[in-house]
Amino acid sequence: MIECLYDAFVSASGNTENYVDYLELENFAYKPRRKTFDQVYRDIINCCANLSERGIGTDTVVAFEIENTYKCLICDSALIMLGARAVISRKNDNADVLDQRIAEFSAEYLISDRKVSGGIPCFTAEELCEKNENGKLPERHIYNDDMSIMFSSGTTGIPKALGITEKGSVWSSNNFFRFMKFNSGDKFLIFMPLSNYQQRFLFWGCIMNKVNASIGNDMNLLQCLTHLEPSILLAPPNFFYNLYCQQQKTEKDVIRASLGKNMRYLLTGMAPIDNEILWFFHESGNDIYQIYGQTEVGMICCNTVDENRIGTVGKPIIDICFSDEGELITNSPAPIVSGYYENGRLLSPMPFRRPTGDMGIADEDGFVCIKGRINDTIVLRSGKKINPAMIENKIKNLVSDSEAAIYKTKDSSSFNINITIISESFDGRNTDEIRDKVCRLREIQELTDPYTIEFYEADKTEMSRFYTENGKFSRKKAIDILCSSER
Amino acid sequence: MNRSDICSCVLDVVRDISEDSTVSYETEIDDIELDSIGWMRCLVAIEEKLGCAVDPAVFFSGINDSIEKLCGSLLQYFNITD
Repeated sequence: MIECLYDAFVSASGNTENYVDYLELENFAYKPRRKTFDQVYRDIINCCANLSERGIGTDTVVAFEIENTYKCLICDSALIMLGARAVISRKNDNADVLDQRIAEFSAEYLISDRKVSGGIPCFTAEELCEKNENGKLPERHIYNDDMSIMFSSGTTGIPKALGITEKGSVWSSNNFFRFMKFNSGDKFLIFMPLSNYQQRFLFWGCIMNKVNASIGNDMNLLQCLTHLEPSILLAPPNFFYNLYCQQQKTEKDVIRASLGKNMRYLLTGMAPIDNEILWFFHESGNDIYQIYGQTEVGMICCNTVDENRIGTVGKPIIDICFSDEGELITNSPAPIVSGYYENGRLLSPMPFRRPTGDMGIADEDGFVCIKGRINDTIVLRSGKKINPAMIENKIKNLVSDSEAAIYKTKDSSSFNINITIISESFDGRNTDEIRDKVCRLREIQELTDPYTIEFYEADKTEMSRFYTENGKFSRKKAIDILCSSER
Repeated sequence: MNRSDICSCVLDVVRDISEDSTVSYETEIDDIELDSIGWMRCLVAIEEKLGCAVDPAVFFSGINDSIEKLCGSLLQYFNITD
């Protein structure tokens, strides 16, 4: 039984069957690279020596601008083996944000390709992976407190610092991998930013469960899919929606051609996905398995190859219940997040029993359906509750290059439902036709309250204000902006 | 491989995948109806046609705001100056 990530990395030693694949560009050609788990282990030990020689060890706080590269993964793993604490940022975060985080968490070192360092020693992942003859297994380390600090925008759009626990990470990734029955013949493509906690979590799951991994990024995704031929892909709903749109345009099998020959497990989560997309992929023989989790808790419900029900997020993989209002409550034995940080200090610890803020329901077979955020619920005059997120998603799918926000506005005497479709431009588009399409949606026809459909044009700069730091559309931000703007 | 090979390859691929035959060198990238996967497919198709890989960071660079600029970036990447 693997108790900590140190043990997980040591377990890779001697494993020459499983591997990590990635692509490198050399002389205008993609070169697939393969490192066996044993080589991964040796590279980590080598990196530990480089880090130690630079003064990094147990409890050292290291700011780390992590990129989706093999070398960054090695550095991240070596920091964990040494018991250092990484404060993880994205490469694209601006320098001020990085400097602020360095100061807030009193980081002593920085791993980054930038030349800025906030006055602290700065190393690149490249140099930390250079050959070191003094590499030896460091002393075993188990974290008693947070292993990493990461930043998540969540649903509010404001990045919050989260403390990541080692115990929760190990337990939750193992629980997920075992429930999904990923096996040593599988290969998991990790392409979303490693600064997003779940991606590192997937890598650790691969190491602990002897599942092959491949590393890509959001720009070389299609090349990774075709050159590395993974069998598992976790991607946001937008990826599948865009693929669906591409497929609609042509007779060619774009989906199969894009996903590679070995794909067997398409997973999606992070946001609602339209059932129409799920059915389309199902009918084309490429089932998508919807899963549901929260940063704080880890994976909560999953559809699997054995048990998949479209329209649901699958069966719970941890203990859950529903409040009288229908809010989904988790009771995880080991949450991933210890709590939120403010000014470098941990606020109150995260309770094991935790309301998710999501409305849900379980069907007679135990498959869970998420109805949206509890705070977003709109109560119609009839008393019927609707959750706008799913309807907004449908509208977004109906209208290309758009976002949508549904919210209540107070007219002179009564509340109305406002449906706003947001885009950079509606030039050349027939808004009457769009309005007509939206009105024909079943959910809109079932609205018993008066509603209006409006079109809102926002230039690139304003548009960016509707999104979280992680690039997710934030309905909360959008509604704040829409309500405060002169319409 | 010369300037004309690259420029006509880019134009052909973008026209084909966007299903828009009016795309020209002057067309702004934002005016082409392609989503992220569409552009990724363009990159893959250009690589296949040219028989070599293009650094995605060059292809997706923010400075490529028109087809002409995209072609210019690729020419620079392949070190074609004629």
